[in-house]
Amino acid sequence: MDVIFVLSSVTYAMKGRDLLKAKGIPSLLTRSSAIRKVRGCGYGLQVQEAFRNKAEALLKQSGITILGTVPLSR
Amino acid sequence: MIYLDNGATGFPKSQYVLDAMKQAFLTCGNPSRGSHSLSRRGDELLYKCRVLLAKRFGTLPERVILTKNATEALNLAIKGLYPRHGEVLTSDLEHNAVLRPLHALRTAGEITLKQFRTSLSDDGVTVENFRTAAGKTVSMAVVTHGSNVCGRVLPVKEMRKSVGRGDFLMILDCSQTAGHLPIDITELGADVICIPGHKGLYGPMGTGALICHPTRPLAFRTLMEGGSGVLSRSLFMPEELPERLEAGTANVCGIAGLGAALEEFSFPKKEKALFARLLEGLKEKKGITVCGYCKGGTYLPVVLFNKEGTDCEDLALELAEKEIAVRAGLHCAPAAHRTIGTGDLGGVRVSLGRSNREADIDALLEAL
Repeated sequence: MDVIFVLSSVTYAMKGRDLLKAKGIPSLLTRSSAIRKVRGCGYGLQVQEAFRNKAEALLKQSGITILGTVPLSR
Repeated sequence: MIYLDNGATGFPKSQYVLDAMKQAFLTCGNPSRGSHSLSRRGDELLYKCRVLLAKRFGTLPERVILTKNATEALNLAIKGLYPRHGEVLTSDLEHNAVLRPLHALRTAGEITLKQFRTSLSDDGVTVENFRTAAGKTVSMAVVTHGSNVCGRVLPVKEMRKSVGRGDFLMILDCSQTAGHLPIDITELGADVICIPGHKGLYGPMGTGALICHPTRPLAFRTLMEGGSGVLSRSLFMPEELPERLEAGTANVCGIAGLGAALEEFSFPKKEKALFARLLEGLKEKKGITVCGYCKGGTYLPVVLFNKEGTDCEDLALELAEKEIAVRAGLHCAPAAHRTIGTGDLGGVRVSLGRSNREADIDALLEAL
């Protein structure tokens, strides 16, 4: 199952996407109901479960705040 | 047309910039508002522009706030960061984009405003005047990096260094220097720099940016509130930059154009030689007085002059009739004109750009 990292804005989501891509981790920029529950409206990065821990660590190392992690609900 | 008014806006813009704007106009939806491809395309264009600006000015993409011009960026910075009931310092060479927001805050009783004297003949004096005026009580300075009237570049790095305090905020108006001088925000010691997109960078008019230091904490008050595409349940703007200061729909076409301009940007190579040719030519002309220039200082390719017996506006009109574009008057900077000694007369400003050639300088001199 994929997970979505909920991020503070589309800017951080794009920064995170490019960062993960540079490290060979595919991700998908997304808006979803899962994010709406956490943020009202917002953006997240959808990542395969297999990359979850590595992606989370990379985002945090780069100063990108992860507001929540939710399983993909569809 | 011989265009010598690049201090007002860089001209001509490139076809590449126009194509990018047209492409955005035809293919983009409202960025940060949806998950469909049109909205996402707008997101990508905005982010690309942030990345390019961040690289050029030494910060991070999320620390780049896209604005409609340098004036908006300065207002956001000044009114967003001023110390309530504190002291703010500015120079005697400022544009109204700096002076008017500061004056508004002073008349509202929000700040005490201090002004320091610059020296056109000695940067050391400028630094010392700045340091003395800052003293131990001033907590924020708003200063031009380079004068829009006479082109003098201020020693801002040394000025900031002279005030050792870590809590001292420095906002720079880089309206004239962006695109003419390499600028690294950390290297200059600034907290915030404000730039237009359309002057030295040759983006479209209606674009600019407020660029923040990559790491220094900056707690901005907001001037405008509205939709941000995130955190919709809250009645407050998001805390995070850049969304905190970007309410409402962005100027996507303009920003696409600015991104394209940044992609093809390179520093003009002939500016110094053309500036020297212009300066020497004007000095040799009978009845022409060059104003605000002192040998030895650092200057942008901008020259202010007057012609004996002719009002500056009349002279600019005569030149316009000969298809030579210059700008006369007070250049929205009456304080700077007072400092230079042209407070009553104003002057004719020639400002060079990447399209100028030796023949343009010669044509101006001939016309004079």
